[in-house]
Order: sequence, then C-alpha cells, then structure tokens
Amino acid sequence: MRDMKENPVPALLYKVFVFGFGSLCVVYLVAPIVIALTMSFTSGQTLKYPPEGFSFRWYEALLDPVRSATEHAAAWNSLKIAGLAVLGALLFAVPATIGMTRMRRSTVGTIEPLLLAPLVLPSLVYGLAALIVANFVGLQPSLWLTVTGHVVVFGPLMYRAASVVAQGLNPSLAEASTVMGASWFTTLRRVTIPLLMPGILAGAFLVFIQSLDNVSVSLFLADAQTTVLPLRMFALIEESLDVRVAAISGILIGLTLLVMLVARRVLAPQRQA
Amino acid sequence: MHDFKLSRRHFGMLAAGVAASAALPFSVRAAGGTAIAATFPGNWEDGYRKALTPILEAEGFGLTVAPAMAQDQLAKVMASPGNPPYDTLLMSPGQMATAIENDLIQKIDPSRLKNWNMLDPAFQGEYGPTVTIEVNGIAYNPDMVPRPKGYRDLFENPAYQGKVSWTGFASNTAVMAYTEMAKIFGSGPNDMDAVFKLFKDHPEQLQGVVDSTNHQMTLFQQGEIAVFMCSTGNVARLKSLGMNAEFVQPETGSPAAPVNIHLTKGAKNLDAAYAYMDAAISKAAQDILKMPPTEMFPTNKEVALTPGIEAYVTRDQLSKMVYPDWAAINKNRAAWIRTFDALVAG
Amino acid sequence: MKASGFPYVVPMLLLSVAFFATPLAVLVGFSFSGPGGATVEHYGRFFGDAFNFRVLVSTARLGLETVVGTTLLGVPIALLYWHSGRTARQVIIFLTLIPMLTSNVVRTFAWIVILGRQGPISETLMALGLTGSPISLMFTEFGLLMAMCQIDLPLIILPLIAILSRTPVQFTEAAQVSGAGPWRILVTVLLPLMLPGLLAGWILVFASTSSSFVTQAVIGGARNVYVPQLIYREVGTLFDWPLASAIAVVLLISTGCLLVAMTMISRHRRLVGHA
Repeated sequence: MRDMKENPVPALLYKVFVFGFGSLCVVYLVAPIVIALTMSFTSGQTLKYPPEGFSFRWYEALLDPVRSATEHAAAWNSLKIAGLAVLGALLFAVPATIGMTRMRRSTVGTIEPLLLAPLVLPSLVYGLAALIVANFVGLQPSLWLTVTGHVVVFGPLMYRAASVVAQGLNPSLAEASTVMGASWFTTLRRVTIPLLMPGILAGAFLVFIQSLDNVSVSLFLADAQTTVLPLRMFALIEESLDVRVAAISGILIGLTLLVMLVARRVLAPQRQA
Repeated sequence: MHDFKLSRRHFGMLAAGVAASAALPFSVRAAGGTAIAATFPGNWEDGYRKALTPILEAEGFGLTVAPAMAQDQLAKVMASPGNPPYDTLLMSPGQMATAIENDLIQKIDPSRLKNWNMLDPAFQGEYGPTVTIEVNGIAYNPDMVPRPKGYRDLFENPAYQGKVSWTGFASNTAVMAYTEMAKIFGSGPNDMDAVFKLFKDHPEQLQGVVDSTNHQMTLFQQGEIAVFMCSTGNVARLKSLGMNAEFVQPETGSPAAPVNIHLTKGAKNLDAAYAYMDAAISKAAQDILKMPPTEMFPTNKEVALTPGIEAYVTRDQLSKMVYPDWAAINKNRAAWIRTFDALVAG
Repeated sequence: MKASGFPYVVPMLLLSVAFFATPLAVLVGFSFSGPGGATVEHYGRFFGDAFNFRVLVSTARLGLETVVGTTLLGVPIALLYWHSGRTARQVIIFLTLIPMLTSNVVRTFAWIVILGRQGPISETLMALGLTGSPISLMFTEFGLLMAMCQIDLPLIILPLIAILSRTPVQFTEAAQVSGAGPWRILVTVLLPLMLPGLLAGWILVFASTSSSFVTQAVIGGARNVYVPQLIYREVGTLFDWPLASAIAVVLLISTGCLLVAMTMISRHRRLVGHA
C-alpha cells in the first residue's frame, strides 16, 4: 500500500505482524462467540457443545409470542432502560467531555476521578446503597430510578470514550468558529459534536450494552413488576440450560449487522465529505 | 466508526421514540388489591403466575409475581426498612432465620387461610405456610462413575477421585451436605473441623469447587464433573433434558429444605397477600405445580403425588428426612465460609 | 476560554453528587458503624485476615494482567484496522462489537467449552503430543485470564478505533517522506497517537475486571477468589453489610489510586505532546 524503499526485511516483518498476527488476534476475539452461536443452532434440548444437529427451533421458540411472553416483556423492559440510559449519558456525559477540553489540566485532574469513580464500584454495592438512600428520601423503586442508576454507573463509559477523541482535538477549531461569528450553539452543533462523533458512538454502544447486561442495579432500583432480560436469562440457564439464551445473543448480533449494513448503504454516502 | 455515522436528525428521532415508549406504563394494575409476591426467577415465576393468578382474580384480587433469588429478596427488604417492596417473600429456613432475626417478616393469622387444615402440622409454620419441600441428595452420571452409597463413599472409593464437584458454604445445598458429613466424620452436625480435615486429607476433592449448583449443572452436562450435591428437582430437570443423571438418597438420610411463603412486616396489601398464600396451598394450584416443568412436591394432603415425584420421595419418607438446625448453621456460617475458602485457595 | 468549560461539566457533577456521592456516603457510614458508635473494627476484620489481603492483591494482579493481555492483543487489531480499506475497517468494527453483543452468561459458557477437557485447547495439545491425557484449564488462573482478555478486548479496541477513524491516512506521510520505516512510524507516530485511547482502554478494562464477578466465579471456580465475590457473599449470604461496605471502600480506594495514576500519566503525556 505504501512504498517502503529501504531494507525490505523489517517492512515485510511489519506486514506479517500487522496482517498475520493482527488477524490471529481477531480470531481470538471472535472464536468463542462462534462457538456460542454454533450452540444456538442446535436441534438438541440444551446448550451443549458440540451441538446435536442443526435447526432454527430455538430461534422459533424465542420469537414465539406465547412461549416466550415473559422473555419478550423482559427484553422490552431492558431495551427501554438501556435506550434511556444512553439518552441520559448523552445529556450528561457528552457536555462534560466538551467542558473538560476547555478547562485547565489541573482542574480536570481533580474532577475527572470523581466522574470516573462509579466505574470501579461493583454495581451490586451501588444498587444496594442507592436503594437505601432512595428509601430514606421517600423515592419508590421505579423505572426512572433504575434509569438514573444506569446513567450514573455507565455514564462514565460515555465520558471516557468521548474524551479519548476530545483529547486529540485541536481547540483552535472551535475558537476559529467562534471568532468567525458563529454562536456557541452553532459551534457545538456544527464543529464540536461532529468531531466527537466516533467517540460518542463508541460510548453510546458501551453504555447500551453494559446497561443491557446489568442485573444488580435493575434488581434493586426497579419496581417489583419489572423483570429485566439478564436476570431472566440467568434463570433460564440455571434451570434448564435453555438454548434461547444463546439465541438472544444471535439475534442481537444479527440486528447489529443489519444496522451497520443499513448505515453503510443509506447514511454514509450522503455524508461523505 | 469512520463510516458509521448517524445524522443528528435520525438520532433525534430515535431518542424521541425511546422517550415516548418509556412514558407508557409497564403494566395495567388490577383495580382491587394486588399482592406483590416475590418468587424465584424462571420456572417458579412462570408456574406461580400461571397457576395462582386465575385463583386470585376469581376472588377479586390481582397478583404481581416479582422474580428474585432468596438472598436478593432479603437484601431488597432489608434496604427498605418499614417500606418493603414485596408483600410476601419465598424462601427456605436458612433465609427465614435471617429474616426473623432482622425483624423483616411477621407471624401470620392461620384463620385467614381456608386451606390451612389441608397442610400437615409440619407445614403449618407460624411465619407462613410451606408450599413445597426440596429433598437433597447426590447426583451422579452413571456413564462415568458407579452409584455412590452416600457421602463416605465419595471420599473412600477411588472411582470418584477428581470427579466430584463441591460448592462453598454460601450454597444451602452444600451446607446441608456438610452438616451431614460432620455427623458422619465428626461428632455432630456442627463439628465442621472434621469436614475441613477430611478435605485436607483429600486435596483432590477441592479441585472442582465452584460457587453454585447451577454452575455444576453446566459442568455436569459438559462431562467436566460426574458427581455433585443436588436437589431432586435438579436431577429431574437434567433427566427431562435428555441427560444421563441419577439421584441417590444418601444411606445416612436425605437433608430436606421446605420452601415457605412469608408475610413481610409492613406489607401493604394484606388481604391480597393472604389470598395469595391461600391459593399457593390450594389443591387447584398444587395440582398444576406438581406437573413438569415445576414438579413441586405438593404439601396439600389432598393432592395425589405423581409417579415422577414418587420415584424420588413418598409422603411416608418425609418424616425420615433430615431437617438441619438453621439457627445453629447461621451462627457459624460466616466462619465456615472463610475457613473453607482459605482451604480451597490453598 | 479556559474557564468557560465548567458550566458544561456541572450537570454530570451534580448527577454524580446526588446519585453517586450520597450512596457512597451511606456506604462509608456503614463501614464505620458499630453498636457503640463509630469504629474501624470492620476494616480491622478485613485486613486482620491474611486471606482477604491476598484476595485484594490477586484482584489487582488479575486486573493488571488483563490490561497487559488486552493491550498485546488489541494494538495489533487496531493496526490492522489502520492499514485496512473502508470495507475491511467496517468488518473489524463489527467483529469487535460481536463479543459485547453476546450476553455475559453465554460468553462464559463458551469459555467453559474451550477450556474444558474435551475443548479445542486440550485436543490440540494432545494432537501435538504435548500431553498424554486430556487437560482442563477450568478453575485455573491462566484459563480465567485467557477468558477475561477476550471478554474485555473490545473495551480497549473501541477507544483505539475511535481515534484512528478520526485520523486521516495522510497522517503518517510526513514521516514516510522523511524515509522512516514502518516500525519507526509505529513507535514515533502511531503509538503516541493511540496513547490516549490505550489509557482509556486500560482504565475501562481494569475497572471492568475489578468490579465484575460472573466470569471469575464460573471459570475461576472457588479456588480463585476476587474482591467482588467477597463483597457479594457478605451482602447476600451473610448479610454483614458493614463488612461488605468496608471491603467496597477498600476496593474503591485501591483501584481508584491505580486509575488516578493512569490518568495522571495521560495528562502528563499530553503536556509533553503540547510542549
């Protein structure tokens, strides 16, 4: 791809390293998931490797509105909580990221640990302590309390992912825009946020997925009638090694592939600079 | 990420959609009193929802079945003193002792339960009725090991070497097995030093120690282990899923754990909660719950046992079961857990 | 310009204070609570047991080992991304997202298969004649590390890709024109470019390994115990909440110190970079 004129050996070694070893690393990343997905297409009765035969029966069972009514309700609850958590993270963490790029390093160094602290506390402990506080001030467990909990615990992921990109940004771009007479909002909308977009998307994905997979915070902060998907999946595995649990992952992966393909076809060309 | 761009307009639409859907209520509440009943997640949750909801509705009550493991139920109630998130809890005596100690549950008024007299006196707890009983023993894979006679066999017969999986003292099933072993190898149910010494002398037994029974079921079906401590329910499920598993009642007797419904202190929907308890011990409900996939041992005298249940345990055998002293266990449990963990970690 | 950033940070700070600092205060309060007033007894109980201290050390060790492992695996993937065309880049992104889209329960299950007696590792070693009988890596620290590295790998790749995707391919041209070889470009241009992403990834990976417990409990077994499992047991089995709180505070402080150290390195490097 690029001409490397001098001694060809190091250049060749580099290619082997990047394309050979890099691909091996990708295999390491993906192989366990391939095994999991293989198991989801079993025609047998349990999640087992090697699978007994090929069939779509567990996908059919999972999509059946009668047989999987509880799973559907739980999935809906979890998707709702995760979607709102992403929204909350956008509203709270993205502005914080932008603000941090405009502050003194020493100040950032003081505030940042405070913002990142929720990442380190096991979410079980957080959920329990948050319920004690909520009960003390008279808040009942509810959807909104759950979402708030998720924003607090997973918002820092958004902050961290977005600030990675923000750290590499040139502050003079925003300054130039302001100098040229753009309002702060226009600058934000037209310059800062588009520049942060890769970080924001990575952060949104992290928040969404971690929220979807979380049991502890939801367990303590959700009202009694709200079952979340991961709790349900845990029970399904525990009791009957239910293959639908793997099928849920299969469907999530399929949906993501679909979204990416659509994004590639529909969104990318029109925004290509 | 480079080419994976959503326009702001798309993003705004997505966000608005999510927000709008969240404004919808999760479920429509029943007009009258609704009992909020904690049950174990999974089959138990589905079974109770299916079998009990119609009975309560016929009497003008609603039922919300809230899935949570026993320890999570306790933690949630403990974190909300005076304002319990559930009207009733579901647990076995180990957790019941903790609940009583922390003043989380109240004694019930049996005169409010029409089906109370259908229960054996052993099932008429002052803190609530026993809805089923879990009988414990040893599960083994006949393809891999011979049938064990009891706990002693697992340590003395070399055929089991490296094929047995144990769990730590946090598991109720494990604690019941260990108290039995303390009786066999030591001076009594609380002589746990004898059990620790036993493990020290048989370090190969410590290789497959895991955290809970459900991990063992996974390992069992993958052929990683061949023997583990279980309830009849575990084995019935493994068998129904086509696996080669058998249940053994240890020669020294099977430890048993009743499962009870308890009324929380400060329960808000008392009438509905009593209606729910009554429904759970009714013939109509237990006739459904004794069938697969729940296969719960019925505590209501009028309910006939299915052949499937009788294969594991009959009503006559119930009195011969071993019922551990949970107050004593809870007193020692913290120390036992720590000693055992240090032993396992080597 | 410098001070104008603060208002942007206020909402998240307020959220943190209202919904994180107050529960944290409750936790700290619990950890010092005793029947006769404030006490450090619970911390004494934790540190008085040599076993607990070992658990704390192995938690930090597992975190650091996972950070090293994910870095060694993640950087080559990021470089592969950097040298790939548009379509290949999208495939790499998709493959990176896949493990995260798979529920924790299922991922862990797959690792039981891989590490087990009849798994691919055991079979390969037998085929190569390196071992005579099937071996199982279940319940070993090494097996757990292998699983943790795979499970947390996306946490380090995503920040790296976020940076690289924003960087035009021409970024390395100047170095190339001046005759630098690919290894030199990697060390002098690409790695410094990726450094903020690496640091972010390290923080995410370390925080994730030191606060989660499902994989540790299943793959590591009872032989390998980590702090979150200790806390979980004190909360749910023994209901010793003061001790659980004390352990959580110790965990928060010890991992917090490591994270602050990592952040300071990143700030320092930026200082150097800007000078």
